[in-house]
Amino acid sequence: MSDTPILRVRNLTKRFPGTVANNSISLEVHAGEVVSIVGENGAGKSTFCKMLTGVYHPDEGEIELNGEKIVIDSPILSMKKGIVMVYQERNLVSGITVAENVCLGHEITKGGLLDRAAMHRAAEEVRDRLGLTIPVDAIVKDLGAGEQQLVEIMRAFYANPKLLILDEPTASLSESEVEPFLEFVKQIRSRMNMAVIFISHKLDEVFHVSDRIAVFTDGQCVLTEKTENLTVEKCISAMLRNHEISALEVKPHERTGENILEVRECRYEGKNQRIRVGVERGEIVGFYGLVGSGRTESMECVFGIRPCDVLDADLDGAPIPVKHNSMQMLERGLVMTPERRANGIFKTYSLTKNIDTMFMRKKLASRAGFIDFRKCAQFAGQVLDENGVKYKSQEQLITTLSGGNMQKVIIGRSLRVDGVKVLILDEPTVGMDIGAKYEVYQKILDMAEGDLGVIFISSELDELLAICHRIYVYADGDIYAEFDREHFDKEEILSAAMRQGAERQVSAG
Amino acid sequence: MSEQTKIYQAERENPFVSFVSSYFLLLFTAALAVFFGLRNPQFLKVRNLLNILSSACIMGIAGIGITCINAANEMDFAAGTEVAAGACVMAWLLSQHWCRNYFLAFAITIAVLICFGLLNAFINIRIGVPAFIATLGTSYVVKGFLKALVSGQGIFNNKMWPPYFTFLGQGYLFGIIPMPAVVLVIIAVVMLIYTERTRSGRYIYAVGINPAACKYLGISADKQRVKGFVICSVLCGIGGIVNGSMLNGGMATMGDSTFMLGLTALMWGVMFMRKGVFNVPGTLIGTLFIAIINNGMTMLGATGYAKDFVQGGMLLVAVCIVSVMKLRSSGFLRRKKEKKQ
Repeated sequence: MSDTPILRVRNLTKRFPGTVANNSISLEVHAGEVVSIVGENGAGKSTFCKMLTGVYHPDEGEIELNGEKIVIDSPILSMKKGIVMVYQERNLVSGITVAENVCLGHEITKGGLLDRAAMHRAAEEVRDRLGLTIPVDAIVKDLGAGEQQLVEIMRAFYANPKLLILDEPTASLSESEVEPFLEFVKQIRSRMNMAVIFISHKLDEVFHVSDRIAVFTDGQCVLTEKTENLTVEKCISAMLRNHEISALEVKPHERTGENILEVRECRYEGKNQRIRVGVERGEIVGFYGLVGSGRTESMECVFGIRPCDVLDADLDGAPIPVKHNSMQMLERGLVMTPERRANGIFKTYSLTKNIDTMFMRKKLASRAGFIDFRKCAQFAGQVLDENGVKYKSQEQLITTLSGGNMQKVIIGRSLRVDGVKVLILDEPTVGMDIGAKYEVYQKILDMAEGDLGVIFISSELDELLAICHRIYVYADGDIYAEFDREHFDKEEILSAAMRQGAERQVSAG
Repeated sequence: MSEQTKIYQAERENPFVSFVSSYFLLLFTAALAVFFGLRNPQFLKVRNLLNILSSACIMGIAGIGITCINAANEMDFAAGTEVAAGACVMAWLLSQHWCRNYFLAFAITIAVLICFGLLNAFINIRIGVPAFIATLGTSYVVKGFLKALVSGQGIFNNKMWPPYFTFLGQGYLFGIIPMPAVVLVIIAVVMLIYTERTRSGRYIYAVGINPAACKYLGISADKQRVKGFVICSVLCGIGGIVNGSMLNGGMATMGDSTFMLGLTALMWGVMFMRKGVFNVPGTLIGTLFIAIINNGMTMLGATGYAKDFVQGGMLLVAVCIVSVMKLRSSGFLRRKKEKKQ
């Protein structure tokens, strides 16, 4: 092995109108090495990768591949040169076989017709080279998320890459699929002497998989260091050097036994779920579980946007009827924010309209239903300022905000619902950078201090451990375990979510 | 995300581009009027302008109705039949002995149209049949009923009809303003206020933009869609009543061309102001645009097919101009050129 790095980038700069997305970035990636790039959203990671794959063209700087200076002016050229990127979004055609997907775009033909046997062999060859066991004639949609991710990589390897770029490859994997996947990445790196660039938000994965870590902040590469010389704290402080983060301070909650929201029974879709939940004023209750474990579904039943078979629940002492709708619950002070931010906003509406549409019923429209636009603008302005949303004009489209600011709008307007008592936040921080996440955490702590009951649903255990007073663990539609803050134990909670721990008594209230 | 933000910023940096791309339909319509006016001074005479408004009446009223249901993200293929229903039911009622009162007949007709709208909504929302199949089905069934009602070919110039049967379609207010123009203006104003300035109108648009978000805000998407179906049916029916009065008759097939015209106006309107969203102001301007082309071309003595050429050609040219302007301002073309060098 020579000392020439596979990829050497010098002083790469890319400007967009109004911003410098990449400011003089220099980086080397050697063969047999995994280099992770970490940084907040908008730190310039994706711009950097897009320049390597020919989607963008650098304004300044040069790229060397195997010691040879190259100009990458199209994605096809970059692929020919051996730079292959696996994108965050799945790009597979789900209705056809693995082999067909692997060869997609490079079909092998014989006399103008597809040569299925040859494609099958080619796919098998790639698979064996990678040391995988996926059957190449399986239909892609029958595979699990983890296996599909591997098919995606098989496809990347079909082009014989020298440099593999993985953009958030674990984002769509479930907890149990992540570990084997990371092992696989490490393995191909050493076995095939590959250069790998790994991009992720999850620092524990980054530390697990990479040989070196590069930290991006505001378009600059502020730190490049061997993994063994780094700590998570050091990484975070490098990522956040432009943000001030106050340590999160969780005020202890004295349980009074008086639940503001109490669910004793909730069944839906004809099944027999065991759900008992109690939330007190000023308490932050975390719901942990995998997607589809019932953590979201049960709360949708309570909030009235999913039909339920049996519901025995009280809000502030008064029962919630089985047949109810979200309008009634909003009037009684129960608010829920959606799991995906896209489900909380009106894309083609301005900031003002995104806020005031929620308050047409009483505050911002006359009895007869005529909208009071002056009041709307004033009210929306208050909500935006109160929640520290960064915006230029109230009339700008909501889609021009960053994810964090969008979430602030969604949470902020929810807090202004008349007589709000309980707030259900479903994955409020998903896809956000660390700075924005901390702002949301702080907001949640403030809410609890304001005597609201908060239900915080999340797939990230760490954030629940950080700010919740209590955690319920969902598995297979049931609430499987309950933990108090004094008894938080990461291992135990994880194994409960996977239904491996000993049966625990579930008590609510 | 960040990339998208940048494109938006670039767009905002050039206010001229954003103004033209928002209002080009209006500018185009005005330019067209000036052009016809220069070619033939008769065109800009008040009487002719009122005529244009009058000829836009049925298309405009039906177009607003179609916009309401499309804004709620559903469609109503029965709109043409609803127009015919308005005309036929009205014509039939007034030819009966027991119903000689015009206002009674009008009220019954509207009630029938509301039921038609509710039927569409019921099949679509309660039973869950996709709207375009449901409304296509009801449109044929109802058309069959209408044919039976007006005994096949239709009713024309019935002796039972009161003399003012033709007033809405052929009469003049103060001896100069054609009644269809008056009806169009009244309905346009009412519907503009309804959709732009009331809670109920806002909800219809909101459901169209994002039904999932509406759930979390306590807005029932189904209710808004029911409203959309009913408004569409009633407005199309009113268009039909005016149409029947204009032709002094009622036929089961009279709505067919109106439906297509209404849809065209709707599509034109999408490009006005709020790009990509069906909206009432846009539909109204689209209606005027089509009416002006038809009227102006007739005045210049053009043949029928020339109108189609002009209308379609202008649509394509206009959309191309807007697209190119947008691409330029987002720097896309510049980047392409760079690549070539």
